[in-house]
Amino acid sequence: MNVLGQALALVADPYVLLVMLASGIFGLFVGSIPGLTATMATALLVPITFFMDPVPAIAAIVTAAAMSIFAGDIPGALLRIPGTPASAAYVEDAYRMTRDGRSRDALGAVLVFSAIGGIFGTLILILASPALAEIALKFSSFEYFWLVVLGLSCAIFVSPGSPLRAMVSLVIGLFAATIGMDNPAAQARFTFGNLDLLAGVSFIPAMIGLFAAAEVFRAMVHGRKGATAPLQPDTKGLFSSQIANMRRYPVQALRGSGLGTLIGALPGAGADIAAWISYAVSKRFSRTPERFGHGHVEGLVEAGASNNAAVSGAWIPALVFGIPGDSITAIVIGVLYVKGMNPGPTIFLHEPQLIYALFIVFLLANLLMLPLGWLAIRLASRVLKVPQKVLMPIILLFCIVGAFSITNSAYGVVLMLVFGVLGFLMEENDIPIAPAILGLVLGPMLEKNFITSMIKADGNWLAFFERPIAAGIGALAILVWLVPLVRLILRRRAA
Amino acid sequence: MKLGDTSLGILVLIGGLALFWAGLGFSPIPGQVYGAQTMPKAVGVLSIGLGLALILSGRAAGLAVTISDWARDPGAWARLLSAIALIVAYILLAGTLGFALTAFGLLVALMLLTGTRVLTAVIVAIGTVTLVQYSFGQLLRVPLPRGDLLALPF
Repeated sequence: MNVLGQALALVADPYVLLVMLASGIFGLFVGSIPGLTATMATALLVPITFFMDPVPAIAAIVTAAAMSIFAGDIPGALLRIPGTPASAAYVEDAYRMTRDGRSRDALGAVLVFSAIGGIFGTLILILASPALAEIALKFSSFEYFWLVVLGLSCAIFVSPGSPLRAMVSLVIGLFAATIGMDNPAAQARFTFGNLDLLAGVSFIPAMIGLFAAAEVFRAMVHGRKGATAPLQPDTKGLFSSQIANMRRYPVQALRGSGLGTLIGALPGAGADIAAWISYAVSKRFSRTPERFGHGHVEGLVEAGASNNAAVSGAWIPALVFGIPGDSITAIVIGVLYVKGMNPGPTIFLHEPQLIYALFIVFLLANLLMLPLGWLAIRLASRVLKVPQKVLMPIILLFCIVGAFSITNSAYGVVLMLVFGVLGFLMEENDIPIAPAILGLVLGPMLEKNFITSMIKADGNWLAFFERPIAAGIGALAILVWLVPLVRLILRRRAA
Repeated sequence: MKLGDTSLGILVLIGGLALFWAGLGFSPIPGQVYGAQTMPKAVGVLSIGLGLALILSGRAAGLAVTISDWARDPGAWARLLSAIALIVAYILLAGTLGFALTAFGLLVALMLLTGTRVLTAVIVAIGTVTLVQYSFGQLLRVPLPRGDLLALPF
């Protein structure tokens, strides 16, 4: 109980609450502008959180991420353009409902069920992670090696599109992770005599480049597309209209939240994949599947809950194992390391008050979503008028300053530029970004755990299967690779 | 511009070979089989396999390179390359000109590129630079380059 009291004291600090409010508004703004994603909100926030204590820093990121995933639904409903990829699954339904004068029902549903999904995911996080951490305490380098392999494998096969192209992304990330002398042998690799590169590829400037600068380049190239005037939403009775939906779709809300949490917890899969899968599941089990895509609220309830549940679920592997569940938590893990708060099971032992504080922050962020979301919907038509041609240059300046503030030198800006161009080229070639990020974050972990294990086992490969949990996770990782291969062979045979 | 599987595969294959070859130059931890060479070599092998798989999967389509819609528009190329050039210019000039002046120039130039009116661009740029200089330079104590010409008075 004492720990809980300490945690409450950490969060109840007016500074933390103010940070949450400000980053919530920031998240709503970024999320509701098409083209700016939740990951971008996080990447742009990181340089600022860099100067905060761990709790306000994480609070800022958690709040901004949750808000921007919800806010992505607003332009979907008003403009038929999803604000973030996570809203793309049900944009057609949301827009048609608004057009038919049912904006209250549509926006109310995404807001209320986003909050429900987020809170559900948080409750699972609170219940599951201490138990998982207990198990994780027994992990040695063998288990961690396999966990990393499993995470990287999931990232490849879960990402939408071609798994081969996802692997290209992973290879890029892994290569970037080998640069510098931060490896078990402490040898300088691929530095070409450059002193800055000795420290390796600084993670946050790379992220800012991949997610934010690349987006600015895309906007420069595509220019302003024919702008449509946003529809005017109706906010009267936004919340009361949802009581009926809660009565009508309790199973959908629960299923969306549960599936979303699970998908979020899978390494490499985040809110966007969760929303797509939940929308499909909802349609599959619906009594009226023919109404999906024509302005039906059922899919909104389920997928809306799912994408926010995924945001919370992604934190389970991040906090327990230090393995990110999606690109947002990948950024946060980088931040946690910098703050000396090494994610992993020991954090539950050494600093339980921090973990409890994070749990409270999660619940608070999802509750804060209700009033702030209401405000955002009210102001939406005005925010959506902010011209992108003015906004994009400003974002680029924030990218530059953000990258600079991490290294305090032009090196950060150079990295940001290089990765920005890389991210632009990758997106042009349908190569997903998330596996590269995971490769960059997990590459050093993979290398360290492999080499430590090999030294311990004196080069005996079988040692990777000698401990029961290691063997189990290892088998699972191999299965992730085998299943698609077997399916491919079977399909070839059938053809 | 989108590379087909074959052309992407060739690039990945070359990259993988180069990585593996570079990996040969690193040495293991003394007394061990594994060390600094392990990871580059492993990623190299993975890339070589991946490159071959891509080449195989794209063999029907040949060396297809699809040109996206925007790439047919020279204006889009100009905007993209100018944006990159402007960031390079920022990196080169910020040290001598200082953050405020360079960032102002960068913002105005970028906004003119995207088709903002001059007056709007200048006003927004002044506002943004002041805000960033104050929030990052003052509140967060990021040592933004001051420059000799125009160091803002805070």
